[in-house]
Amino acid sequence: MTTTSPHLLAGWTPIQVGCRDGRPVVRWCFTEGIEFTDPFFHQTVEHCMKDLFRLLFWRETDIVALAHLAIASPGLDPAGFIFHTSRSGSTLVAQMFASLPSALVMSEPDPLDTVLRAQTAFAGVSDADTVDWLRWMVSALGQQRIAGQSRLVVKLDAWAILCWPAIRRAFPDTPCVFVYRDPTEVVLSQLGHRGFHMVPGTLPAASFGLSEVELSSLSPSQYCAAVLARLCEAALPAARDGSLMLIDYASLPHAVSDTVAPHFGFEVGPPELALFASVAERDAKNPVVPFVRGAANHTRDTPELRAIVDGRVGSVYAALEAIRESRS
Amino acid sequence: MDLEALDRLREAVVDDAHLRSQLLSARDRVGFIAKVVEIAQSRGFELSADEVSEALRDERRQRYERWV
Repeated sequence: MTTTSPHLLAGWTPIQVGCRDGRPVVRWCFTEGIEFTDPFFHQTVEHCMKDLFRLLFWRETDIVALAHLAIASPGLDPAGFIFHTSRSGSTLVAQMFASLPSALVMSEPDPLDTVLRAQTAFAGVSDADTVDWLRWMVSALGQQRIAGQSRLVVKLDAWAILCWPAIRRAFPDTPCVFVYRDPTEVVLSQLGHRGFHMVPGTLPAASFGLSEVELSSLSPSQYCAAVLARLCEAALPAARDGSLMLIDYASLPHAVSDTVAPHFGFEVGPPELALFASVAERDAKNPVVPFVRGAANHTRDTPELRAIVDGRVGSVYAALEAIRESRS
Repeated sequence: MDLEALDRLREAVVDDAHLRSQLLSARDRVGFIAKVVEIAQSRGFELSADEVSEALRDERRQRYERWV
């Protein structure tokens, strides 16, 4: 693979990190003129792939090309990172920022997730490599897409909070929020339609503090509660030391204008409030339908389920709530 | 399919703004494939319309497989 000069990568976006001969390779898509305003990064990529040119004429580079691009064109300054438990309003938060002309939002970008988990995918990747690759990937994803964009907001995958130490090392000064919700509501939503991380085996059981033996013995409710507990536990130290601002689902959408936007350094005036309001009235993941609060499937809401969730997540959820309330 | 020809064509096209523009402006699948074949031939690469069509199918299939 030849080294690609950074100027040739103008207008191209990394959409995937794969493996070739045991080494990471970056797949790039030509995205000039493409606005990343879909609720999720992969949706924008799939839209791109409907174009035959973008489907057939990709380019591949080694991972160091990201470093060269970061030097030549650092991209937008990261204004904030959104961490979350999933099913907690984080897509709404991201979409509200995406409505601002000054913001570029990258929502759960696949290549960033691969970089975060690179130590399990590739041999010989050190902690320092992970930190470097994170910085380079965010820089490449954060290239200005349209005129007027000046800040980058990144919404990470739910399990990214497990990699908090590496992310904090890469971006020690970037404001971060953790969006969470009553754990029973989260588990009820997941039981209706599982997210990637809530399907046993998609991520290593050890990531969630589970052994393979435990994994095979857990019911769906128990597994979802165990994963959720681990995500909340991973957020707790950073919440305690103040580097991770806690945002409760119940406080949305107003918390975006009142709390998150100022934390990320965005000015919020009447134009921004109007844009936020127009987003908040629609379903963030499917904007063609209106938003309905608390749409989880309550037919599964039983005392047994509540006992399972409370037993695994109750104490860590209470700890997060106590921190949040002490700072409000 | 001559994958090497397609790879070499890809290398030529991705760095050439003029060629990119020509291919991005193709109106439909038939027109796109014809344009790819024309560009390939003008650069001495042997690539047929069937091979381009097959390459497109392969790319699409690989995209779908990511979600299976």
